[in-house]
Amino acid sequence: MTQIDQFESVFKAAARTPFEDLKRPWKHWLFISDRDADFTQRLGDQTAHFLSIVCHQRSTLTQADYQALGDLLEKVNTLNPDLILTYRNLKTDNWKWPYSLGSYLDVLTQATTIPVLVLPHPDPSGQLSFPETDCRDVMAVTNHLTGDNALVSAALDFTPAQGQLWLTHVEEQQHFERYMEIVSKIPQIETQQARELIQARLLKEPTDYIESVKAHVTAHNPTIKVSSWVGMGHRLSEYKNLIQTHHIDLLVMNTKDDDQLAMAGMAYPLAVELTQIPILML
Amino acid sequence: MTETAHHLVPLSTSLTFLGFLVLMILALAFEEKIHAKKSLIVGLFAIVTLVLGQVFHLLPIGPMLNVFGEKMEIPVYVSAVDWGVITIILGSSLFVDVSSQSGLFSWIAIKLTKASKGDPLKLYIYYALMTVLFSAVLNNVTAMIIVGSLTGVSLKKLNRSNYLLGFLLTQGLLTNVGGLLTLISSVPNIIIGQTAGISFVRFFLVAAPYVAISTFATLMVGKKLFGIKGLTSDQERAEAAKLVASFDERDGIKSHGFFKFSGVMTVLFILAIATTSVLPFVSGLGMGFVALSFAAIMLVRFKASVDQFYKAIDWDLVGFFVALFVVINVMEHAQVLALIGQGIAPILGAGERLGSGLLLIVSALVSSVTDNIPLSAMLAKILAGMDQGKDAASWWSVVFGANLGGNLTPIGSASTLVAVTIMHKHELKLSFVGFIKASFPLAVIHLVLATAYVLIFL
Repeated sequence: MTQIDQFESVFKAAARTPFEDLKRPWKHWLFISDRDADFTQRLGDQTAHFLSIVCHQRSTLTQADYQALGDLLEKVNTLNPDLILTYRNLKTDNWKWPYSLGSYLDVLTQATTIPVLVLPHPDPSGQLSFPETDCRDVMAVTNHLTGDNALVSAALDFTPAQGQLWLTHVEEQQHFERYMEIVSKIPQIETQQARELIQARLLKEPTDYIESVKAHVTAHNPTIKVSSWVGMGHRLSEYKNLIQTHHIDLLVMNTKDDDQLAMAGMAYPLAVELTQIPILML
Repeated sequence: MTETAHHLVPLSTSLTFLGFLVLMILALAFEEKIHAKKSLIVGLFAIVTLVLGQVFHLLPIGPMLNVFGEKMEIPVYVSAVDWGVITIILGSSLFVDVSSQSGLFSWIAIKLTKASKGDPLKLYIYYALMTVLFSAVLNNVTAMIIVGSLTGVSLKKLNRSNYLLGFLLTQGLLTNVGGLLTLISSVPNIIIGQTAGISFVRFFLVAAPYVAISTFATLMVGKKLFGIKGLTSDQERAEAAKLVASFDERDGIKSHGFFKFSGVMTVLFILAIATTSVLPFVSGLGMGFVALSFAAIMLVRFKASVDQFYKAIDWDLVGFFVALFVVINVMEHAQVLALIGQGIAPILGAGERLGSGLLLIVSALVSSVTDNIPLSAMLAKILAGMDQGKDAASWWSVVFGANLGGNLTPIGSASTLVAVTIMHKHELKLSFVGFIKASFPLAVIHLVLATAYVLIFL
């Protein structure tokens, strides 16, 4: 009954995953710092200037408002904002050694469902480090772009008019080669044909999905330019290269998913390594 | 003693061969249980019966005269095969295989899905009509595979997997109704049509009214039986329309030129097959020639990889036919067919109308538990031996009975077996008895309508 599989594949391939804009409110912003009220106020002002999206209600939590992590989480839940804004290595002094985001931020991104915008850590003099220009180029970063409407919608929300939304999909070459190595040892499967067909299909799905995002953006936000890059490579280095080459101002990535794999995958190493780029962590 | 054209055959010999025939039919009925393919089962019986035929000196051995009057050594197992039928099957399946590579059939299927706007009732009706149409143009198994696999994908997309059983069951049964529409829609049609000398156009004109009535009745009863309802609120309609709109019918089309070419060629293929008997120069070459010629023209598109299509041919089916023709030929020489004919004679002797009705019911019951191809091949030979004219209702009794009997059980026809396989693939549990219970009302309606049709109109 291989023909059943054959036709099922044809119809499954024809069932596209179109983009659907999942609008979410970004009205209530909560700024969290481990310094005084003046600094937190400055943090809020500079961030509001950097982002094009409008803040309707601003709340703050300064060093005086919480003593420990549990305390902070409780207050966050009580305030229930639409967006948390803070910086990496909050409440820790190991920001000089970029090997983690810090325990507060690690927990904050996992224990709440509220998106967290992570800014670079302030320098020793207390100056916040923002990109020289306002946020113009936003990139959605994920292991699997197709169908991730929440991620793309959030990235689109943070892309200003005249700005550029980057949608990328890097298929891990190393994993692909490992599977192909196995395929090459199975006599029933023609290796070269499998390589070509699987690679083409892996890249076609995100390409089709990006096309549907482009169609949506052209219809609803025509001043936003959607750029894309879909290909094979080493994810981490490809993303680092793309981010540097295209001077990305804001990264949008998942920290939670159904399988709890996001932080174990590419998001965490990227978030840790790219210390100078603001990151919206969903 | 029973008498052949060449010699007398003792009754005990005929009964011995009849025993082998019954054994073969039983082995085919339990094909799934004994895990053996049809071609091998019948092939082994062909070998045994050929040897036995030699042992009992039943088979014509020696040179044969060809069309030029020249003597040729053609073994009996070659001359026994109806190569006209084999070439039709080979040519048609190659043609369908190549033309389906154009994305034509999946394009039609997805277009219809989108036209339904995701409404389950409309989808049920559209898919049913598509099943009938595809079964008429393609073979029943391919039609069931195309429509059934799309049904699984689209109902899942629409979150309506609860309707899957009803959809697949209806489609499985309708493949056998649609398989009645033309002379090339199913193998029993080809065998009976070829033997009786029924033309493509006459076959269509006789079968079409029944297919239309039976399809309509199936849809009316099926939607009630399986509780399939249309969408009622605007919100439901909007959501369903959005879901099916995401299907891209162009996805399977690799070349627009070849897609259009396949569409044109499919229409021409049907027209050519329909008019073979009156086409100058071609009529003498037969439908098999037409089918193989169209397949060859289509294969030009894939000239460097035609071997892929040869591999895709259902060689089990072809081998099965070849071996079956050999077995039937041996049975003919052993006077087994004459014996069965004597058994059928009282049925036909019950009067032209009653006899035809009874033959239809008997054919349906037999083909519900075993393959309808040996049945139709055997009955075709027997009826031809009884000098039934090409307009006799008894031919149609076999056509209707052999095709529709498959609807009574899941093993009755290859296409209902495909429907059950797709159900199992989607983890729908349906036992043998469960299938009979679920399909019985519709299968009975088909048979009652067919019997009435044969009795009243033929």
